[in-house]
Amino acid sequence: MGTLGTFDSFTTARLGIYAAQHGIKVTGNNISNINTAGYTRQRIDQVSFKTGVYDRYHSMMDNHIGSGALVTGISQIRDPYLDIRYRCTSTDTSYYDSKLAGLQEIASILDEVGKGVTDGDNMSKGDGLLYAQLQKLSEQLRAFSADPTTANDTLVRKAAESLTSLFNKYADRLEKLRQDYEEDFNNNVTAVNKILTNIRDLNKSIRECEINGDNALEMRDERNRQIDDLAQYMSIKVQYSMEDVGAGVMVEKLTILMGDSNPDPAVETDSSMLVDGLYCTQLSVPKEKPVVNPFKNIAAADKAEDYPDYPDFAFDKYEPFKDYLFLSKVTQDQLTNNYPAGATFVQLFEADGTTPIKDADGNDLYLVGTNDPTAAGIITEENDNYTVQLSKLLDTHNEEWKSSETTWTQLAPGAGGSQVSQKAVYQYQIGTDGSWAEDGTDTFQIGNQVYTVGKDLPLAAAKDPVQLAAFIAAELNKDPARTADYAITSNGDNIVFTAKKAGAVGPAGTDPKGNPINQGPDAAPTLTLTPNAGKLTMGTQTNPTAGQDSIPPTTGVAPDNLPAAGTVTDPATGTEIATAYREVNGAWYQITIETKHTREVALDDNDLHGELQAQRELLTGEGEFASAHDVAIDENAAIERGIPYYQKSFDLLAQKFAEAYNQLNQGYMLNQDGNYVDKDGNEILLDGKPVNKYEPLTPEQKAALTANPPDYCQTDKDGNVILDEDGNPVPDLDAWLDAYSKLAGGPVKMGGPLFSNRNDGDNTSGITASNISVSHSWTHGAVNLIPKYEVLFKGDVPNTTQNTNADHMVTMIDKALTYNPQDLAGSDAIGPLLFEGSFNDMFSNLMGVQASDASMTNVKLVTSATTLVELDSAREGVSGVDLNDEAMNMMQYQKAYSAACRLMTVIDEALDRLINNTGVVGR
Amino acid sequence: MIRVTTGGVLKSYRSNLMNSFISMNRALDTVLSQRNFNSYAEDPAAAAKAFRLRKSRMTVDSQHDICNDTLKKYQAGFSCLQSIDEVLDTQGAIDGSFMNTLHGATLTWLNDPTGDAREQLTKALDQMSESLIQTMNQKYGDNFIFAGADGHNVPFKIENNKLYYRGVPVDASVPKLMPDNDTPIETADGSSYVLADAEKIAVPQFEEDPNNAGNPLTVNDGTTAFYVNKGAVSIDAAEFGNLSAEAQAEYTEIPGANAGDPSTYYKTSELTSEADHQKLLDGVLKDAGGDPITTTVDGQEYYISNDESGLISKDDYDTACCDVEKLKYLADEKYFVDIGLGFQEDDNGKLIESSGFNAALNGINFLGYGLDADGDPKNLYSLVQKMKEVSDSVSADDEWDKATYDEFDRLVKKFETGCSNFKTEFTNMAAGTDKLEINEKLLYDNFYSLQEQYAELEDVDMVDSITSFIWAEYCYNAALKVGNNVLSESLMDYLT
Repeated sequence: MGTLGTFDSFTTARLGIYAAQHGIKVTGNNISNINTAGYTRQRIDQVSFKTGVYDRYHSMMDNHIGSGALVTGISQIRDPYLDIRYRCTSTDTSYYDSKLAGLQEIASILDEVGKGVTDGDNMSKGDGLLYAQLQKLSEQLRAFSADPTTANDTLVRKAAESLTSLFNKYADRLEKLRQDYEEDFNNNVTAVNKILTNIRDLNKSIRECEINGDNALEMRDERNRQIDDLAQYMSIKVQYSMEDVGAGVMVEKLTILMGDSNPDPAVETDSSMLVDGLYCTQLSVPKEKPVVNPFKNIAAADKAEDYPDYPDFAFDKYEPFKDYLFLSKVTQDQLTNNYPAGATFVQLFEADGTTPIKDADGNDLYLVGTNDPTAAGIITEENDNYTVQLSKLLDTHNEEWKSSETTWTQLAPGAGGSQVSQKAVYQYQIGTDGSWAEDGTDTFQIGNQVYTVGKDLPLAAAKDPVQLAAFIAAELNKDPARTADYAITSNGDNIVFTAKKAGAVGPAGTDPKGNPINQGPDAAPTLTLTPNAGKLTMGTQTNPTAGQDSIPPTTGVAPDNLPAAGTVTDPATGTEIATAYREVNGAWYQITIETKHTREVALDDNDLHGELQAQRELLTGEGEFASAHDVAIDENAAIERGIPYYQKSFDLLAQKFAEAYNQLNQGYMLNQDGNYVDKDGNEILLDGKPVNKYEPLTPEQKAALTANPPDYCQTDKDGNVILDEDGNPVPDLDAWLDAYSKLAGGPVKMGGPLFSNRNDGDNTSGITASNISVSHSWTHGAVNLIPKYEVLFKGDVPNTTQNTNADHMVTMIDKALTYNPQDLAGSDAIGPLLFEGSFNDMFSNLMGVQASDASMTNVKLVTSATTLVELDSAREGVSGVDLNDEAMNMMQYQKAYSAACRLMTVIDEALDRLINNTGVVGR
Repeated sequence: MIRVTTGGVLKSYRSNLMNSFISMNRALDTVLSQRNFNSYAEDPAAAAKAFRLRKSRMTVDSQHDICNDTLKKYQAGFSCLQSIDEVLDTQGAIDGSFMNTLHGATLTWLNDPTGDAREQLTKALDQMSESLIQTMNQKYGDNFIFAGADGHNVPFKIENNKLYYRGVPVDASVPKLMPDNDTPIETADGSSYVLADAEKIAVPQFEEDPNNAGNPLTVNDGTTAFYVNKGAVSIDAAEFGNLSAEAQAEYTEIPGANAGDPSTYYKTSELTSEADHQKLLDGVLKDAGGDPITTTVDGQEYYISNDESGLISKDDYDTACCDVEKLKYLADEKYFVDIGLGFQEDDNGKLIESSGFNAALNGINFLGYGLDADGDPKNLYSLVQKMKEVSDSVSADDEWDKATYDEFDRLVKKFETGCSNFKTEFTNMAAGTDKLEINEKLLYDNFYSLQEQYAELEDVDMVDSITSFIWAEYCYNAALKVGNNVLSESLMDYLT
């Protein structure tokens, strides 16, 4: 506006005052929130205001002036890139921090550096507890070896009791740690769910605010804070997009996906949706997890050997399932409730064929198979790897998210062998010889209706066949009964009956295949005209177009391979695809309605990152004890060492220890030459020769022992006879001695187990670190340490201090044993040799593995944490409130406010001059 | 960084202050614990090595105890053997107590033909030999020193003047049997063997009856039937008549077979009456068919006297053999203890003997066992007892004859051989004691060496650690001081 308005300058001043007021308010808000967690500093969005009205007259002067300032909004200052980097690093840091915390917890149990009682001297301080106790046992064994008395036996037993007590204590603490971590893990899952719910609710609130024109900055701050928290638990990817809410209003939509952190590119679940605007998922860790049939897409010709990594495949062993594709062990309950009809099953028994194999809860186990490759996840298995499951995306009312899309696809004519329907058309040619009486006496009749020529229709019309046909058609149309099925028209001298419904004429029904037939009118039209000779004639009924039934397109046939009509649900995605075929105007359409649902997602083993993943790995990592099944789930399973790895390693150590000493303390009587003897001191003969404990069997003795495999032959885990390099069975002398000892004249068993799985019994099966105990018999003197098995000269010569076996016990402490993960009772591990060394070395190795892992994790944590602090500072640099800044702003807005007020005074004075003091000269 | 904010400065300060505090705390831990590392993770390699060294130290400590114990046992045994050596004292008297030694006593006996002190000497021999046994039955701790691998039972026992070692007679030997083509000769009932020194009786040789081949020629003087000794010469009546009456008296007339046949004359000494021959056969061993058992020595065929003293029952023989086996086993018996020589087993689970120390002291190796080629005991006690028997065989009032002297002298020489063997074993044991002493010292040194080694790994250098702590504390204090300025004045403070 080139011309200064009278009062608009006041507006300029007023807008200036408003803007300054807003500025001061925002500054105050920033200062107030300087200590508010997650607060992002705000600023006013201010623009110069200029009215866009043209002058009434053109002005040559370019003197348009703005009208002040407008505050268009309040915005936050954030750097999205920093947010992304901060959250990624936060996830890493939390992962390493949590992992290190777990490893330190394990270290607090196993790490014996600096531990150990002083015993009044500084030497033993730092010898460790269990580590030192093994040596104390060794020391007592040496003393026993030097003088095998009952007193020394007792001292060995006391040392062994202390040792087993330490084993138990360590194992219990490891188990307690595992339980604590399990609880903590579940708590964290709950915390994540709470965060996800909060974010979804905040999304809703922010959305509503935005619709109403409020930016909801404080809620965004809270949402950002929640997202930061979420990033500690798991890797996430945050996306913002605009959503049309109607009436041209666009609001921001927040989407949070999982962070694509699985190194396996084939896995897609690591990008699963967590929050999608008004919807969010919830995490759960079910006790049991569904097992999806991994062979859904396999070919019929596939065989077991095509799936060597899947442990449940055992076709060769179970005849009923030889040709079956999907096998698993289930309980009776699962069998009844979860398995589809047609599945085949057999109960599993131990090798004796009568003792049922049971699961941990005592349920009988069955092997179930199905040869249906499309059978989806129909069984559940224990969720022992803490698989996290995502629920469907739900809104605040727990309504599921879904979206449908319908597509119509016109099929090419004849596609799939389809036949498009046709309406039947009948026509009658009307003729006349034109000899109608002009006096109006001639009549003719349509059906029962009589018409008089010259009266009901003009004579000229009666004489013209075309007009006559048109008249008749019009009259026929007056009868609803006739027009029910047909449209009646005239065409030249023809009356045309066109079927209203497409399809063949005749009674409706179905053909033998069930397809509908005669979808047109029930009967052809009838027309009776009298008199019909001479003056009025009707040609024969013609049927130029026969009615044809419509036949839906053939589905599933090459080349079109159209899908069958109906609804199919993709078991993988949950998407429903409804297919229908419809004929419209002589063309067939394929109508597809795709309804997408969100689905429950069982996350892959490496999908998570952050604290949750660290805890999962601590809870599940079995390292070398991982089974083929575990590796199939997680390719890194064999190198992830969590609490179970240490538990199993420790169990293996205890088991090996117990086995070694139980074996040493159970043997058969020998004579002075080391030959096995019976109770009378007579040598036990095999193939006519004595059997010596320290000498290998002769070839003849071996042959005699292994004559009837598998009797007295060594067998592998599957019961197969082990062969030597020459292909001969490897004899099992112990089995023979054991069997023979039960017969008269057999070798004499001596000693008994030193260690058992309970202190109140002598059962040596399933010894673990948590249950290893000094056997009941040893505790109560029924069994003692056996210093030697030699009975000299049938007992004539005593050898009370002979110590050949005690020496074995001494050497055993330092003997290098092999620790194979497969040796652990009940193990289905596939890992390589764990360790080879003495008991002490094995324990030391256990500490070393933990230490190396912790050390490496610590380095990563420090690196990650340093980066995190830097990023946090950088983020704070962008979004944080600075008092200097705010002081400057405060002064700036204060001055602006004063100036605007001053402007108003100036304008007021100017107007006052103009109004009250201008033009008063000469008054 | 373009912009530094109040909150950013505070966060950064907090983080750095925490790091500074952690550093100080860690340094403090190092000073207080006096250890270079307080967890395995701080220095896995050093921790693993330190544990290995500690294990070695504990092992060495235990081995040292065993070695020390074994050494003391050996030293106790050494003392016992020394006192036995003094009792034997083959080197002669040094302190005038020559008479109080076994050797001295035996020499005195030999030089006392009149038997003045024989009775006392014999008693002294008896007592001193018993003291040998008592010394060999000494204990170290709860175990008998010289009991081999039977330390809980007294090794030597004397029953009926026979010495037993762990229930086995020390003088056991395999009885020599009379062989027949290398097969021991048994009695007809198979219950006994014939001893090699059983009385042999030469099988008499008779002329063969020309009319009855395979049978001895039998003649009859009318009252007695005789067998004609091999090579006997007969003379007829004419030749007989030419002999003097004295010479004729040496002949026996054998009338002709028929009346009127001339007589034949044999020297009576060349005829053996059937009764005498039968008597001889009655006194020899026979086989199951009742035929005399013969044995051939140097081409000469002998019957074997059926005197009991020449026989030994199979059970006794087996027992004797077994006893000898037992003695051999007991003499070679071992039991090993771990004194830090590597103590290891072979692939068959048998201890590698060189990796352990054989702590068995087998008493019979010192005193001797079994019999020598002359059938004399090798055991010193038994020898002395035998000497005592020889001595007792001579009456106190009589002088000993040469045979007795020779017998005693022979035994004294064997006694000296026994003493020499004892000395050898004694020396061997002394060598073992030396080995134990050296080993004990090595273990002792090793023990402290190991302790030093892991101390070097684990223990802090106090100067270094305290300096580190002071520096960390200094840094922390500085950080605190700086903290006072973090919340310094801002522009706000200057607004008026």
